[in-house]
Amino acid sequence: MTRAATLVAPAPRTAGQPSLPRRIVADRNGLIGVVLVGLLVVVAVVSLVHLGQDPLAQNRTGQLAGPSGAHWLGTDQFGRDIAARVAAGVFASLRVALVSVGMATIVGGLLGVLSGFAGGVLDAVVGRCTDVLFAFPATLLALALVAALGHGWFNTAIAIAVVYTPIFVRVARGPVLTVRESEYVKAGRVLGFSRSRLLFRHVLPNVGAPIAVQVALALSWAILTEAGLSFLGLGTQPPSPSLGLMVSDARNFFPDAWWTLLFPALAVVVAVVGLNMVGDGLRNALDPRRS
Amino acid sequence: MTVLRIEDLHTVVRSRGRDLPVVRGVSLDVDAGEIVGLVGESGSGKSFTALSVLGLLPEGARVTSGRILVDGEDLVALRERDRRTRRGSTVAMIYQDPMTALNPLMTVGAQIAEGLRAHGIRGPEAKRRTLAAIEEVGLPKPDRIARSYPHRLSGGQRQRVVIASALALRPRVLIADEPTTALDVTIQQQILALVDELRTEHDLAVLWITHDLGVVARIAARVAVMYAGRVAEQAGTRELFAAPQHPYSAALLASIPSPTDTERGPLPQIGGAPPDLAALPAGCPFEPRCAYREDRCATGEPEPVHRGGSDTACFVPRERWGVRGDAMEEPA
Amino acid sequence: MSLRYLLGRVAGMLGTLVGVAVVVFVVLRALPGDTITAKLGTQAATLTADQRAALRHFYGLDSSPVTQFFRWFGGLLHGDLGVSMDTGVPVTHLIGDALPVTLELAVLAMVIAVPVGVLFGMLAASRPGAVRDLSVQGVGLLGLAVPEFVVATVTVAWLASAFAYTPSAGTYVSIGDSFGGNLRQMLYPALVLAIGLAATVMRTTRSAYLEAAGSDFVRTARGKGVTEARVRFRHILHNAGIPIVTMVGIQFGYLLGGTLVVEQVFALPGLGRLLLDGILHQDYAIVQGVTLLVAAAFVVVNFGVDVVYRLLDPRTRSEGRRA
Repeated sequence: MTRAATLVAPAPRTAGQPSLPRRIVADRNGLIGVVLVGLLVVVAVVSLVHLGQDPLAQNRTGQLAGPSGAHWLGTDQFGRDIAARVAAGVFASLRVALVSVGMATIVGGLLGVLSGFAGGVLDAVVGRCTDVLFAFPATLLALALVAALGHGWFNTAIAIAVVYTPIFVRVARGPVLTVRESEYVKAGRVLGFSRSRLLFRHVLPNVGAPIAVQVALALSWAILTEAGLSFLGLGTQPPSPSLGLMVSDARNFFPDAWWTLLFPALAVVVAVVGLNMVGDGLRNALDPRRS
Repeated sequence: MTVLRIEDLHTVVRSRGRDLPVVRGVSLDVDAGEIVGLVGESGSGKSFTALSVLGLLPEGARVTSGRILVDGEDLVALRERDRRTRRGSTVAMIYQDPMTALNPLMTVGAQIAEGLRAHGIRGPEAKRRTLAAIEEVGLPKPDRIARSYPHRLSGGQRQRVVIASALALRPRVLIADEPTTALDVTIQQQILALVDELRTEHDLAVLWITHDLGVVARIAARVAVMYAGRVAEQAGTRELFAAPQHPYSAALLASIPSPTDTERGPLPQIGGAPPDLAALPAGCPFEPRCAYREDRCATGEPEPVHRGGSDTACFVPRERWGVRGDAMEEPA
Repeated sequence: MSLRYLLGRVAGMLGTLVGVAVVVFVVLRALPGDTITAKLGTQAATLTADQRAALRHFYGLDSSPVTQFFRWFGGLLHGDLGVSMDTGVPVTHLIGDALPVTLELAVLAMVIAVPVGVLFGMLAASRPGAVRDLSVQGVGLLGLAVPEFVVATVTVAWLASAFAYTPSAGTYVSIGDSFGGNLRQMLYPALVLAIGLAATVMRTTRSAYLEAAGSDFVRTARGKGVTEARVRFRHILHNAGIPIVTMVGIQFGYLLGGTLVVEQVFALPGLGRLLLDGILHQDYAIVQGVTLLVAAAFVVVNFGVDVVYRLLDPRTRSEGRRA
């Protein structure tokens, strides 16, 4: 589990290009990614309305039953429906991922843009803090934070957000520096445009592209990390359904009750592969050299 | 004596499932001790001709027909293994940008010796010949240069190293791919003089690729002008500069700024763009841009004819050009 | 590489290390509940105010946070990481026992992953876009996407059914006791770790190799008649090696803090398990000590990578006069 800060050069907007979503879907990887992620989102939404089974409902007679018409993906050691639990687990994963990456993007992105644009003391302080946070291996930092904050999905989300914030600071700051020094922003300054106007009109659109790519990668890392923490018993607590916890429970029944392990694991893999492919598609769609 | 003979060479590049013709029937001779300039715009096929001779075409490109003879041996017919052993020993190449042509992680000496070792020269003999090669291109303190990494050398020094490496095995043919374009003017002159000197000394056949007619005038005995994968005109340098027999050569010559021009009028340009190789016109490829075109130019592609001391692939003799007015279209 | 550069980097690294210590201290002091409650559990409720104050004084919890930091930091400089509240053993001893296990695991995983990753990266890059490239990349993506805990779980289950072998904490054999016995226990966890690593190394190799393969000097080498094998290894791979070495170094750093899941599933008494036990038993001296050590090791490894990077590349190895 590594933190990859991929920088994409700011691309000047050109007229007449197809819209961004269209370009992502035109990329083969991007299309596969969008389909996979879309699938999971549908599953997560379905879990909210409990169309099928209650993920918490135990059933003393139907424990560890294989896939059947009644339970499509089988049942676990308490007779709970795996399909319903996977769906609820996907929802829990996506919730942690979206909340954590959302926080990291907003806080990190703003700090990066502001420190890059303002320079001076603010930039130096922010830079030093990100350096120190970068000095921790990502997984270790998340663990230490969870140890300090305690269990539960929201604390997990905060821990992941802290890990990813410095990455967004860097990703946002780089293009801001480039844009700040570019001729059109200098020209704008000479023409007497206000700083905030320059910031919103010219800087933000250029920072969006690399951040978008990073968001996709951060989401996939967040899902892996949440699952890993839950597997270790440090994330979501039972009886709440969580993909990592399900795999942990399945340890004792594998390989006989293979369905207890396969389906939650598959959900994590689909999420990570899908988000990585969306990231690839975004990168290709935003790369000015490829259009 | 002819060292390099290219006979009706055809090379294609595979692109989107189609073979694009990039070299279309080039024939060219280079004698021992002779420098022939191969002139053309980018995309004219001059680089593909050179890479075909060296046997280093990029992925997807291949020679489809023709022969490339060096001292009577057809390189096209060789297996890749034998082809490799001819590179460096029979045909060598020097490159455009000396800053990137050398491996930054190997000493200069190791890079020259590597070429020797690839041809079975090892040990103290390889070392001796490496130092001799460095000395031959006029670099001081050869043992110190040999131990240096490329980043320690200037652009001119690096180009000398590239030349030393190319000539270390005494090849018969040297292909020079614009080796002076990336250099300062004074260094350019030194490199030109060096290649000229080594050419005489070793009786090298040199194919000098460039788009700079000034360099050609300075160094080449003969010139082949390429356009759209064919040789438009081949002639002695003196003859070509005095009286070009192909309208394209004439247009190229007219676009060189001359220091004797007293009127500072706009420099003439060639209107239009080179043809798309995927959709070549049925007739002469230069016809759409030509100021002297006649009706038949649009229907048939002219074969080279000997006319006025040149081999020119043009239907319209120079004498008929005048009636159609100026060769050049004035820039807008 | 100039001395001046080196000194600058060392100074920067020391600054970062102090920052790391501050973060560890601040994060782990903000813990819910206090250590006394954690230690005594329900008994804490029966303490009198005086007893509680005495205990707080004993653990140094009654002074200001800044004083506490400097006392703790001063201890660090003397190699004192405190004492495990749970067992009373000095944290340095616990780490001393656990570190070799994690190091061995990390080195073993690297030894497996690097050659595999480099070879497959080269294979993929040799024909970009071809079937072999797409399949290597596909497998690589799966290697990154299948979580370690899944692979580890499946491996342990397979070992149990195939060899009737179940890892347990009591049966760990150190490399000093029995080389073969130790290797039998370490090989599978190292393989599990190696999957993700190999995928990462493969991706880096592929892109670095493609970049180097497009360089002019590669054409120069071919133009000299050098054999294709030599062109690939001596010229392309050597130049691609600099980013690969950097990536491998950084991955090694991550690995020191990333063996936790595998150590847990395979019941290996390494740093990760120590940390996890510390977290689960709220033994914060351990958590602080391990976190600090791993982060410091990570900083030092990154520094080492940077130095190696500069030594590998003659352009940064020495500044000096031109020839």
